[in-house]
Amino acid sequence: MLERTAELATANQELEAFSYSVAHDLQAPLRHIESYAQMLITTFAAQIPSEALDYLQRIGMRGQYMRQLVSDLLNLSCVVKQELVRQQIEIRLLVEEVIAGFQSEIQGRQIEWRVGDLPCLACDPALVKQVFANLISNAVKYTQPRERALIEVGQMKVNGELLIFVRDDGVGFDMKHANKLFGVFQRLHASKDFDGTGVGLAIVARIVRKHGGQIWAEGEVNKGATFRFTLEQGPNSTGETSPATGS
Amino acid sequence: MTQMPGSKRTVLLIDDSEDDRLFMRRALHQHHRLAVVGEVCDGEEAVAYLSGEGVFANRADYPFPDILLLDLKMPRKTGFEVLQWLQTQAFQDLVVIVVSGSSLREDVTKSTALGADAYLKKGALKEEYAAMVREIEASLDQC
Repeated sequence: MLERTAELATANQELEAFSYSVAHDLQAPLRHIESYAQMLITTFAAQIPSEALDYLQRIGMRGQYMRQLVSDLLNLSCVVKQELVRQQIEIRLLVEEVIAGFQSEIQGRQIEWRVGDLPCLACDPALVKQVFANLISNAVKYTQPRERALIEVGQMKVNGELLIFVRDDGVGFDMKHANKLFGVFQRLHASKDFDGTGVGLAIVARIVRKHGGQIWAEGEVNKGATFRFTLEQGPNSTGETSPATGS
Repeated sequence: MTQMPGSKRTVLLIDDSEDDRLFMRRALHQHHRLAVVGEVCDGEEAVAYLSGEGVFANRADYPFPDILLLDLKMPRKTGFEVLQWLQTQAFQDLVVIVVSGSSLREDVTKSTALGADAYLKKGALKEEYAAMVREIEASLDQC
């Protein structure tokens, strides 16, 4: 038993060292590749044949994608090792803050936001904010083909249990792939159609599980997606509900 | 910090990556209010430069800077060790900005706790470098 504990402690230390190395060392060369590619394009564009310019742009874009992959993996490992710091928060305020953060990104798009009743819960504000940021970011992304999109955030009671949901009327997904949604690097759409690395929902699932909750996804191709989740309430939760708002 | 309006703020780059120093230098070069007066590639050299020791004794060649742009992970002496050393010194007007590739929460917290005036994440694209220079300027206005 002691031997097993020591092995786990060593494994944890190695994981920490790996994360630190990713944060400090592995991202640097990727940044540099991207920077040099862009520097060549902007400084020597007139002297470089157009075919070579196209290749340089591809080098820059692939470097950027790799950097995003590394950064997302690092976020995932940080979420796994981070300790929960629960405090009483009004989920509605958190959601409104997240939505406000998307305003510049959605400029020119017609999105109707419906924020319904949401509870006050004892949870880790930074981590739960990340849950809403990732789910709402997906909703914004996958409703892009819609001329007018509808994104809803609210709560519902199922068998006496309080569930929070984020719903959109975007491109949705085929339920036969639902089991893949929360896996790392799992993507259900081609990167030419929608960008992303396939880590966002894995992070969401880890955070929900860390809170002792569960998450479910429902979707239909071209009819939208709904993500429902629970966040186990801490001892200080009031279970009170904040009033709904529209925007 | 008292400064003549319109005068340049001098910068010491402390980073073991030759590439990062090149990109920072290019970004700062395009900015009329900031001038790089020195570059060192680890914490030990940074301490020697600021103390005016050895080759850095001649302040005409190695002027004392207004701003440090300090990387964290460097050989010999890290950025954290430089911050610790700075706490024992009396460089009252020196603005210290950590510029790191890491966005780990513990790195940000530790830097701030050790007296860094700001923490900036390294970027790759020229737009990210332009934003970084704007943040350096904003930090100067707050100091």
